[in-house]
Amino acid sequence: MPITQKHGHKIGEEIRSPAYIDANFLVYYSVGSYLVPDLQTVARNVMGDLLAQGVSMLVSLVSVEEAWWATLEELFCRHIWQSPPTGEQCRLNRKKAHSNWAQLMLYRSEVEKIVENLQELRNHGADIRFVPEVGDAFEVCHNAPNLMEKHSLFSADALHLSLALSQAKTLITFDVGDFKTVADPDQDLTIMLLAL
Amino acid sequence: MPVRELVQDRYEKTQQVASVVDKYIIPPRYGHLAISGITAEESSVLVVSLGSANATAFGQEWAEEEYGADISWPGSANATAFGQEWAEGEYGVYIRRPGSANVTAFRQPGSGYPTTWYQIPNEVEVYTGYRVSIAEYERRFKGVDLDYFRKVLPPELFKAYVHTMGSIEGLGIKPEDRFKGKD
Repeated sequence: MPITQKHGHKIGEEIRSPAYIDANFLVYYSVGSYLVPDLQTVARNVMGDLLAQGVSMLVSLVSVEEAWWATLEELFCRHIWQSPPTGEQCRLNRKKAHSNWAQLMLYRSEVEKIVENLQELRNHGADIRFVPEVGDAFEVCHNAPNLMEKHSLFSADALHLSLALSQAKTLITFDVGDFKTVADPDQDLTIMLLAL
Repeated sequence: MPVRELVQDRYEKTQQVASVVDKYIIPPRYGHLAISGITAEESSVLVVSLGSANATAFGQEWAEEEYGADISWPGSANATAFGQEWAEGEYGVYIRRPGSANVTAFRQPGSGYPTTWYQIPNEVEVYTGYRVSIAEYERRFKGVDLDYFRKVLPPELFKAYVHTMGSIEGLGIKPEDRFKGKD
């Protein structure tokens, strides 16, 4: 079965297990989005189906790192504007945020919930684990540059894809643009694109 | 109380309120808990909005001689907007004349029309023992098919699902004073 791209998800629709969880999915599930609130609804319904179907969820440290960043940006954006900001306002905020990384850690307790939420779900029966396991890390890292070259991916996205290819049947993401160039008849993976 | 029943419950109560103020209403949008309607023949507008922060939350421009009603309850975000402290158990309907930002434009409880009061819950019990405000419910669960997942998930996993989704809000932390960003 080749790499295929599937747009959207209906509640109750089968999700192939295991599923690799992209960073934006973690953010929309736990935090949401001021700019596009409908995305959080999608993520939360998909999470419900992942849990209901007993799908194994694979999370990587790359996803966590990106999710932390996005969460800090989102919270900063919320508090500066107190209402849904424009794209331009967000861009300016993020410029500030990037130059003041350490100060954003006043949101630390909130940011830590990204992983704590996963832990709570796992403690109550969800099948969630971190990848890669130690033995696979070298192989995953070795393959990522190949994917960057082959599919014109950024390094983080290449790591996401490499991890998914090594251990998952589904890659769940909201970033349609990140993986739009990915197609490979020799690899078995469904890329679930959840952008509206 | 499941949210569908809660909405229905509020709708019925609001219909009673509407009959009190003698205007027309249209069914609420599910999950939004706001009810609005237009009575064109009277060139007036009645908006009954549960929990709106202020008159502008009615989401429309007000023409001359249009009126709005708002239902409030103690502890809700809009309670202070009416310029008074609410005692425990006080609930009310206020009539507002559009174009007047002054809170005195609101009729005070017992000061005349309308005088009928209804007790309206402002919380949703998502699962037994876990209650959230209407505002929090909207922020975290709006559009999520909780009824379906309540049926298909094991109870403890459903609780964890509900507890974790949208749990990062961050409100209450105000970075403006501490954050000295470079432009």
